Amino acid sequence: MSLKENLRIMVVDDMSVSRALIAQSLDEIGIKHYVTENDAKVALGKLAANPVHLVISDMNMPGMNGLQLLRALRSAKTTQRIGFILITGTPSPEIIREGQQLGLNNMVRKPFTSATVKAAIESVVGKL
Amino acid sequence: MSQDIANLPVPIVMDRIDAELRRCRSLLERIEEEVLPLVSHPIAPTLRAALQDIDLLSQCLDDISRSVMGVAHAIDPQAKLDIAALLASIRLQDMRIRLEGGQYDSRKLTQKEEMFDAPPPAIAAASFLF
Repeated sequence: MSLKENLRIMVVDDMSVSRALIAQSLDEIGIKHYVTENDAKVALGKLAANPVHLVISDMNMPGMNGLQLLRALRSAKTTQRIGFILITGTPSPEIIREGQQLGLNNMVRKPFTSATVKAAIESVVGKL
Repeated sequence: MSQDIANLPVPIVMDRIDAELRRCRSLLERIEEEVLPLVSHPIAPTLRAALQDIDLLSQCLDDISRSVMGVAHAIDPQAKLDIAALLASIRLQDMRIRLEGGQYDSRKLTQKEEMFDAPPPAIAAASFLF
């Protein structure tokens, strides 16, 4: 079985259209196992109970933003090794610096395409 | 309007502007809901890029809203503002009325009210031509 058939991903984004667009990219790439969440705090609880290989998260979300989710994942033993890709339309130097400090694996800039999402995933998990 | 719009406390004006921004945000959420089915099929790259701008626009509105409320909290609560200049540049009647402190949503009017309630001055003047 190929990597993209085994890879388990969680998409976290509060905007339904953005979630659907990321999901559509994952479909196009051929990734079979992914779930979507609209709330980062709920996502955190689910990841603690059932970790995935990779999280693709939006940056700006109400309640808990992408970097806060990353920080929370890195601070728990069961989730600290989960790959993390941040999606943002406005990658400021502060976000990049904080992301690097927290162990962010990659960043995708909006507007993204399936090709940019695939390249970002491959940089974390290897050739799909 | 019973309130003196020439001398409104600035925090009240900021509150009203914030309410308009939240109204825009909820309109955007409705648009998002309606366009979501588009994403259930493969879409053109240009449409994909445009749809991602919904999120960007939503975040812009949130940021402007936070900035406006930041100003409202930073400013002397007794400071007054003549909002006539602000209102003069507002073309939407609904918004102008709400910024003045009234409650108005033309979409809630019945068709009869819409057709026969006080026409805007430009239309009233034009009726002399016929």
